[in-house]
Amino acid sequence: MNNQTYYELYRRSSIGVALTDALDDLISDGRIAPQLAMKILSNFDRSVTDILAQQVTAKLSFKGHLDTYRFCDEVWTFLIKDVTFKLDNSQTVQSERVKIVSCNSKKPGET
Amino acid sequence: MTNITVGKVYEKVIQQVIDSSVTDVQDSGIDPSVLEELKKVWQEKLSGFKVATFPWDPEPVPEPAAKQEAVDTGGDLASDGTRIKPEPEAEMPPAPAPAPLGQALSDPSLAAARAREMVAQKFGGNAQQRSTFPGLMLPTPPQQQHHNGQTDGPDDGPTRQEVDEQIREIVLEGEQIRTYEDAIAEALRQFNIQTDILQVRPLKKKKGKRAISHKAVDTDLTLSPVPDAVAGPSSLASFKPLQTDGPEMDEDAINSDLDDTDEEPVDDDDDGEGISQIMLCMYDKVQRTKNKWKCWLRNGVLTVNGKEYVFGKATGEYEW
Repeated sequence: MNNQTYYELYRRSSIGVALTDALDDLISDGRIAPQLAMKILSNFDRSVTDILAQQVTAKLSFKGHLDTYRFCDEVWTFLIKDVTFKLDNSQTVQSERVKIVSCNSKKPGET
Repeated sequence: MTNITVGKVYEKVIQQVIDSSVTDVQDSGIDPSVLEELKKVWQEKLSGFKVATFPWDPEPVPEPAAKQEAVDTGGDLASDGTRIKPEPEAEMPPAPAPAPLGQALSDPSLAAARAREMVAQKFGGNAQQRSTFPGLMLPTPPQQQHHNGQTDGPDDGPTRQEVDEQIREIVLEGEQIRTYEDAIAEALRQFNIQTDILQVRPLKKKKGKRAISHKAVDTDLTLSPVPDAVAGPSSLASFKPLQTDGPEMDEDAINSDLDDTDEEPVDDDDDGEGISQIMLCMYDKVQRTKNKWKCWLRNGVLTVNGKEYVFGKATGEYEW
């Protein structure tokens, strides 16, 4: 594996939360050390980023009203209200409000 | 982008994390079997979120009880209404039934507060004092005789607090009372309030559900026994207002629903374990022209309405 660093962004998704919970359980039971849990989490960061990039081709478009925007430390945060998501299969999903947290797809140093 | 692919993608992620962590586990001198357990718990917790259908879900679970202990976010699903496949364990928790009419009374403090408000309203048009009710005789329930040994006299009535306490007790006792009107009437009856001193004024402060039919109350009041021994005409004659208004009930208050504190919107920083409405992704480009925004995103995970979606690319347009 290369030494590229990966965002920890996806730890907030359901699969990341589930992993964190499971690791917490193991730590509190004394089964693993917290340091090992950190390593597993960084493995997760890498795996989820790679798999999303390489194996997910689905497309999405959405429209809505931007309520709040923020750009800090190369991270965009949008709070969008009355969003309509259009999925690949022309299915639509509506939501009153969605928060978008988005990191730069180009890592520092990349061009 | 569909919800269907999420399960397969997540299965790959889990397998890859488990596989790549074997060396790390061995390096720390732990039996790699712990990874099997990690995988199992991880999948169980993920299934507990019910954000998608997962390939491991249909398999018979060796410990079905363990599956149920996962964090329950079924409430989100209920609003969605669409379910991908019927999972036996995916039963929605029943949504809280709409409050029955008499439910407010099951909360004694609430009912007591309403009864108190009603009583105060009743007296508001006649005697303007708030803190005492001279001339009004309170009952002498057997268990509360210490409250008032005196049966008449203008200024020796119980204090507001005592009245409140008695109303509360009456309401607590009156579990069988079904309606608000009944509760008020019962409270007044038990207080032996004389109906002739109740000059009911027009109900100015109608407040939606709290607006009560005066007719109903009055009808009940006329039926209520008025013991003549407790408060004679003399007490009525000496009836004089002590206080023109009170802090507890502002006559000028509009008391509209607008006064109620609106529920605070849910904090958008849902850092807890729950599933929030969030999209985690990377951006290629974010562009703004005046108030029109456009963004090109990729590699995203979207959680919305209790379902999770993954996408390779996304575009968004929104105006500020």
